[in-house]
Amino acid sequence: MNIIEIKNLTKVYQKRYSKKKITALNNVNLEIPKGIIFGLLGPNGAGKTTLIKILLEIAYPTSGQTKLFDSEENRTEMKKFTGYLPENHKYPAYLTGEAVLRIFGQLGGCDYKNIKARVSYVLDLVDMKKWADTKIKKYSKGMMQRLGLAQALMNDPKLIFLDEPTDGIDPIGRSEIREILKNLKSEGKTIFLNSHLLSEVEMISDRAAILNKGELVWDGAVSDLTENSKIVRISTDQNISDSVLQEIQKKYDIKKCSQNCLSIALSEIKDVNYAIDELRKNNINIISVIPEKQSLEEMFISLIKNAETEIK
Amino acid sequence: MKNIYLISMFTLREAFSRKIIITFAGISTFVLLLFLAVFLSFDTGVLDFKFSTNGMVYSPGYTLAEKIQALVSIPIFGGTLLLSIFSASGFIPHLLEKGNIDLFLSKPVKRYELLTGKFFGGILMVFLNIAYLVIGLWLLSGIKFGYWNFSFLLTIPITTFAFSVLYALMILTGIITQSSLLAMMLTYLIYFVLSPVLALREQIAFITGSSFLENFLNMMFYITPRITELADQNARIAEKLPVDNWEAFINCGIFGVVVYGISVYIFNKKDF
Ligand SMILES: Nc1ncnc2c1ncn2[C@@H]1O[C@H](COP(=O)(O)OP(=O)(O)O)[C@@H](O)[C@H]1O
Ligand SMILES: [Mg+2]
Repeated sequence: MNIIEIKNLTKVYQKRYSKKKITALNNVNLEIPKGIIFGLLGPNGAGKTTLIKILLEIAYPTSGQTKLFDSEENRTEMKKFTGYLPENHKYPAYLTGEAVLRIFGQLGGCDYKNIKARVSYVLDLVDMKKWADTKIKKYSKGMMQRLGLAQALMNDPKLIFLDEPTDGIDPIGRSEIREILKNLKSEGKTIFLNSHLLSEVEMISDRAAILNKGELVWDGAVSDLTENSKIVRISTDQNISDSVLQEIQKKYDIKKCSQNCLSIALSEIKDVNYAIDELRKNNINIISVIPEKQSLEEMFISLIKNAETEIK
Repeated sequence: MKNIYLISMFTLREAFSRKIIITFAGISTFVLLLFLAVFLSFDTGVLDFKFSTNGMVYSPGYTLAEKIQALVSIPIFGGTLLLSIFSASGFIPHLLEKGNIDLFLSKPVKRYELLTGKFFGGILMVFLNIAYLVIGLWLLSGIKFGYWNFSFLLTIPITTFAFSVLYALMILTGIITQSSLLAMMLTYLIYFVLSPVLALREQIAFITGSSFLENFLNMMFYITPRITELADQNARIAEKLPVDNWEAFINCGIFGVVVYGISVYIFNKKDF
C-alpha cells in the first residue's frame, strides 16, 4: 500500500502586493510505500517544505491531488495519524517542555488519561527528561529540535513528517536521532524526511527523491543508486605520467585523477583489465582497485547542474 | 467542541503567561482601592434614611449609589475596552507566526475551530477582568450604601459584548495583515473616532449642510459598530432606565457576526 500518493501536484504562490508568481512545485508525481524512511532532498527553496505543507493542508494545491493512507476521508481526520516537525518551529517561550507536549499532544488527539505516561515516554526517547520542567526559552537549538521530535511523536503517529530534523544538532545528537528514526521504522512507522544534507538521507533512507526548483528530478531506491556503479578507483605507488593517462583516456572516461590515483568509468566491469595492463606495462605498481559508489551527493550535484544547463 | 475548548484554555494561559491578565487585574485593583479610599473618606450616615410615597421607597443614599454607578459605568466601559483591545491585539498575530501556525494546522483541528478557540479565549479573558472590576465596585458600593443594584452587574455582559464585536474586527485585520499594531489601530480608530463622530452625524450634517456628507455618514453609521451608543445604553441600564436603543445592540451583533464570518472564510482559504 502507498501511504502517500501525489499526482500532478503543482503549487503556485502569488506574492503578496505584487503580480509575481512563484512556482514552488511543478507537476510532481510521487508514491511512497508504507513502512519506509523516505528522504526528500533538494537545495533551499526547492519546494520541500511546500510539499509537506500541502500534504497536511497547511497550504492548498494549485492543481493536482494528494492522498494519505490511501483514504478519501477528510484530511483533518487523517491528521490524527500523522506527526509533524516543522522547520523553524516555534513554541510559546513561556511554556515548559512538558507543557508543550501536553498542549500539542492533546490537540493531536492524545487521550487525556494517558497523556502523562506518553509525555514521559517521548521525553525519554529523545533524551530530554531532565529538561522537562525548564522553560523552553532556555533551550538550545538542538534541544528545541529534540522537543520538536518528541512533540511530533506524541499521538503515536503512523506517518511522521520531519522537516530538516537535524538542523542545529551536533554530530552525536544526529546519530542519536538516526537511531530513533530507525527504531520508529522497525515499529512499522513511515517517515518522510526533508533534508538538504545528502549524507544523512543516504545513511538512513530506503528511498529518496530529489527536488530542484519545484521539479522532481529523480526518485528511487537509495541502494540502487549506490550498488550498480561502474566506477573504479585505482591507486598506485607512484605518479602516473601524462602519456599513460592519455593512453587510458583513449578508451575510458576518466572521472577523477590525482597524482597516484585514478577514477575511471567503465561500460563493463571486466574492462578494468585494460587500464591495469596499461599501468603494469609502464611498471607502475597497483596498490588497490576499488569499485566506487556513486554517492547521492555526486548524483545530486550532477542532476542539479544538468537542470541548470538545460535551462540555459 | 473539545478542540475549541482546548484552544480557548490555551489562549487564556497565553494571557496569563504574557502577564496580560495580571496587568489588567493590577489596574482594576488600583481602581477598586481608589474607590475604597473615597468611600472611607466620607460618612453616609446622614443619607441613611428612607421615606416612602405612594408605596415607593426612596432613600438619598440609594439615589447617590445609583448615580455613582451610572457615572462610573461609562469610564468602566471605555477603560476596560481600551485595555482589552490592547491586550488581545497580539493573539492572532502570535498564532500566525511562522513555525507556530504550521504546527497548529498540522493537528486534527479544523481551521474554524482554531479561530473560534482564539475568539472565545480572548472573550473569556476580558470577561474575567471586567467581572473582577465590576463585581468589586458593586460590592464596595453595596456595602457602603447598603444598596444592591443588580442592573449595574449588566455592565459585565454588555462590555464583554462590545469587546467581542471589536475583537472580531481585530481578528479579521490580524489575519489579513498579521500585524497587531494595525489591528489595534484600526479598532481604536473605529471605537474612539468613527463611532463617536457617527453618533453625532445628524449635528455634523446640519452644521455643514452638505447632503453628500450626510449620506456618507449615514452609510458609515449603518455599517460600523455603534460602540458609543452601546456605551450610552450601558449607562442607562446601570441606572435602571429602560433600553431605548435596541438598534445599537442589533447593529453591533450583526457587524460582529459578519466580520467574524469573513475572518473564518479568509482563514480557511489561506496558505501558510
Ligand atoms: N507562503 C508563501 N508565499 C509565497 N512564496 C512562498 C511561500 N512559501 C514558500 N514560498 C516560496 O516557494 C519556494 C519553495 O519554498 P520551500 O517549500 O520553503 O522550499 P524548501 O523547503 O525546499 O527550502 C520558495 O521560492 C519560497 O520562496
Ligand atoms: Mg524547507
